[in-house]
Parts: sequence; structure tokens; C-alpha cells
Amino acid sequence: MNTKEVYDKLPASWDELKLKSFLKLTDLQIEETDDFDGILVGVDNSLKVIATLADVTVEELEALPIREITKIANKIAFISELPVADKSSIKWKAIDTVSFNDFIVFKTLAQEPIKNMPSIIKSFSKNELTDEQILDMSTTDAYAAFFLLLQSVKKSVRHMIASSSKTLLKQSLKQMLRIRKKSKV
Amino acid sequence: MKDEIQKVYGWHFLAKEVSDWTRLTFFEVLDKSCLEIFSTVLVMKNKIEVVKADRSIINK
Repeated sequence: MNTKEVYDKLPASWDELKLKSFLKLTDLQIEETDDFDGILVGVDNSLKVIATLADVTVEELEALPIREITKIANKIAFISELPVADKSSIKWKAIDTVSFNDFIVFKTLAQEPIKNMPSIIKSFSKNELTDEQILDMSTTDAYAAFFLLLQSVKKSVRHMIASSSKTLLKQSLKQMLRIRKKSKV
Repeated sequence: MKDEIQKVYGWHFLAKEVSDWTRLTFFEVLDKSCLEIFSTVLVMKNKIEVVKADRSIINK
């Protein structure tokens, strides 16, 4: 195994990182520390991430020169920033076509959104997607899709509340005035 | 523990309340569109407020 082989296997951006690889990363046990040992822990964490993405062992990476490891680690530095969630290829079912049961399923799955991302996409995408198609999606696509779905749900519910509340407020004011008139008589 | 139960079953309790109010079966409520159910919940809430206001006027 040489540096070039490992380097070529790694994604250079969130767009290149497939959802199936991203889900593997979420299972990694990453240590956090703020003290001086943090530098060594940081290297350990990087090696774990690189090993997972390149499908090699940490021991094989440790055998490489530190200069090469640094070069490889720089390629995946994008992971320290969140992906940009502005557009997605996934089209969601319209909120008014979603049943209450489906909404409950969504709320339950959304409690662990990363782990349940493939299930959420499969259940609520307008187009029928296979498990393989979903796992081959870019992480940016899946992340943006979920973020935009949440925005769309909140917007629809707010709009529904606003329009229902206006009508209900008028009705209840009329009813209260009627009750007041009756009680005065 | 209570929070966990609330998170998972809270929505089903709401569906049961709507079912009692509307005389639909529990499963019929689950099949309705979620926006329809939210609108129904708003109506229920509003009616409860009107009844409370009604009672407070009568008790004066």
C-alpha cells in the first residue's frame, strides 16, 4: 500500500463523500480533548477517519511517513466544516399529501436524523429510490435534502396555523360576543 | 423515561384525542393528512378556550 493509493481513495469534498461512507464515519469513536495531549488525539482521530474512508487499517497508515499522513489528512480537512445546504436533487412528497401516521414516523426517525437518513429519504422522497441509490448519494445532497425538508415542514405548519388561527379567532370572537349579549339579557 | 415515552407515544395520544373528538376511529385519524389533523387540533383547542370563557362569564 502506498500513499498515492490511499490519497486517491479519499473524497476531497462533501460532494464526493457518499452517504454510505458518511454513515460509517458516524459509527467511529472520536475522542475529544483540549489539553496538550489533544495533538496526539487529533492525529489518532484523523487516522481513524482516513482508515474508514480509504478502507485500510490504522496500522498500515501508521507505517507511512508523517509528511505523507499530513498530506492525506489535508485532503479530508473539509470534514471540519458543515456542508452547505442550499439545494438538493431529492424532491419530497408535498406535506398536505403526507398522512398523520407518516408524520409521526418522520418525527420519530428525525430524533436520530443522521442514523435514520436513508429511511427518511426512502419514506418521504417523491421518487422511488432503492437502498443502493440512496447510499450512493453525496452527503451534501442528503444533508441539504433533510435540511430543506425540515424548513418546508415548519413553513407549511406555520402557514396552516396562521390561516386556521385567523378564521378561528373571528369565529370565537363572534361567539363570545353572542354569549355576552345573552348573559346581559 | 417519561420524556422518552412522550416523544414516541405523544403523537399517538393526540391521535386518540382527535379520534374521540371527531368520532373517527384511531386508525382513520392516522390515515388522514397531517395538516387536516393539525387544523382539527386547533379547532379543539379553540373550542376549549371558548367553553372556558363561557363558564367564566356565567360564574361572574
